[in-house]
Amino acid sequence: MEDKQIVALFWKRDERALRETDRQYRPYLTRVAHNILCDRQDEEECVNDTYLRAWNAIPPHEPVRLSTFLGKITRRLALDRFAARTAEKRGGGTVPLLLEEFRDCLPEQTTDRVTDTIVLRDALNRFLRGLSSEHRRIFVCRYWYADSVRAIARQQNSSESRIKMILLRTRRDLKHFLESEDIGL
Amino acid sequence: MKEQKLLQVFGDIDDDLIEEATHRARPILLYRIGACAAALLLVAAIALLSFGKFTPLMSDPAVTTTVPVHHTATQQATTTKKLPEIAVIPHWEDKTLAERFPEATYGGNTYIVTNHTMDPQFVGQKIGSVTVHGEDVYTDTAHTTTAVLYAVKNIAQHCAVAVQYKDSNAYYSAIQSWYTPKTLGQFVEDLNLEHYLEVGAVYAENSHTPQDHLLSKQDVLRLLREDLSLPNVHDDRYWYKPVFSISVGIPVLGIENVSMAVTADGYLTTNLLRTGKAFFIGTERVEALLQELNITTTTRTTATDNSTTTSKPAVPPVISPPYIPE
Repeated sequence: MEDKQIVALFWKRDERALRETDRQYRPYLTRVAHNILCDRQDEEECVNDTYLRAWNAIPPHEPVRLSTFLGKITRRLALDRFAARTAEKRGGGTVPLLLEEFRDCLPEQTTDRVTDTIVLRDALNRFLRGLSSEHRRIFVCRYWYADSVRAIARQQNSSESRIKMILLRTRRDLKHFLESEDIGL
Repeated sequence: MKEQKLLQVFGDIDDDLIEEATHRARPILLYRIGACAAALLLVAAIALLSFGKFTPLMSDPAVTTTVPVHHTATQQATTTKKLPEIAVIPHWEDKTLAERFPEATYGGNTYIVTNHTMDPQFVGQKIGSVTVHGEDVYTDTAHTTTAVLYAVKNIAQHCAVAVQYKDSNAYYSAIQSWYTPKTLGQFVEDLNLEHYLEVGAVYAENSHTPQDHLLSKQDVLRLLREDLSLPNVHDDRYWYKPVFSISVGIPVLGIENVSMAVTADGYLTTNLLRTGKAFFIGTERVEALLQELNITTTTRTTATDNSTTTSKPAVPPVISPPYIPE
């Protein structure tokens, strides 16, 4: 079933929408949750919560790309769950590593102003669109999907050291870009 | 923390950027290895010709052909030589639809389309439509078209599908080449091996002669069914050295002569559907199999015999790695 048809089922409040969504997107959403949480039970709960959020969000939303619409919900829920888990001192997952890597991207604070998240998002989109297709895919795989360097290397038919080098350079470029855009965090 | 905010906001980047990241790089086997092989063949052919080894062949106009030889696609260098036809990267117009548009992504799965066209009787229900992309490496031109994906009857959708391109009646088989079953049971069920598996000759270690009919399909299925709960413990870093291997295939998908092997240290391995899979059946079971088939081996080891295992981990990776859905 195509995305449009599934979204139409959501709009009709037809529960087949959930079955079809589960059939088509559970592996994808589990991958998103797994990379952040690394815990089967948490992943399953996170994916199930995604379906509930989607049910509540559509309507009024009418997503064009259902996969990324759901993926964004899963990612957000997984990060929230990770934060709660950290508070319970359970930790784990790849998030601490990603946060440490993201420190390379933080701009030197030239302004006291804190940038609105929408402005920051637009800046990130502009930065990503300025990258080569390959470097963009690698960067998004790492920091959106939270894929391991090894998995990215396998996906891109490349070596792990080359992927690490591309990520390092792209993080530095992002830092300079955010500074040039006068972004404050 | 600032980096947390950055990580959160990164989640809201545009959808097309997120989707683009799921596209894989061009498969090495199809292009790089193909280009290397073509270059090696060219060098070998020129060397042989320079020694006059092919004079009778070249003097026969019936078997002589003039082909433009492309050293690499990016160099765009063409040399017209009289040569026996050798492997070259085909031009766009010479490619099949599967070669032009080799990947189809749907529902989080990426399928590699093969040149095998399927008998329509095996084609199941329509799954959905996708836009597929191709690249003419000679002119650096991007192409797109649409294709409809169909299930293959009684084979799980996350393993393989049939692809029908726009304006074509053919159904090409497409393999989800990152398919990783969690258990032996899932592997057998997903691919419906009971129905679709084909078994060929057995190749024993230290023997270059394949032995036909040493194992029947029912023998192999019996081995697979012994413990369907066995987890897939394949680890890319581990060297699975076979003591004998069986040529297996799934003809409906165009898969032929792929190895299913048994290792001295107790694994049943296969690379059906391209990724490696390994199930620990135990050294005792392997010993029994070797006796049943009357196969002798020089590198046979047991769990207690470490004399020949110095290059391998002391403990085999029998613990399942974390589940990574792909």
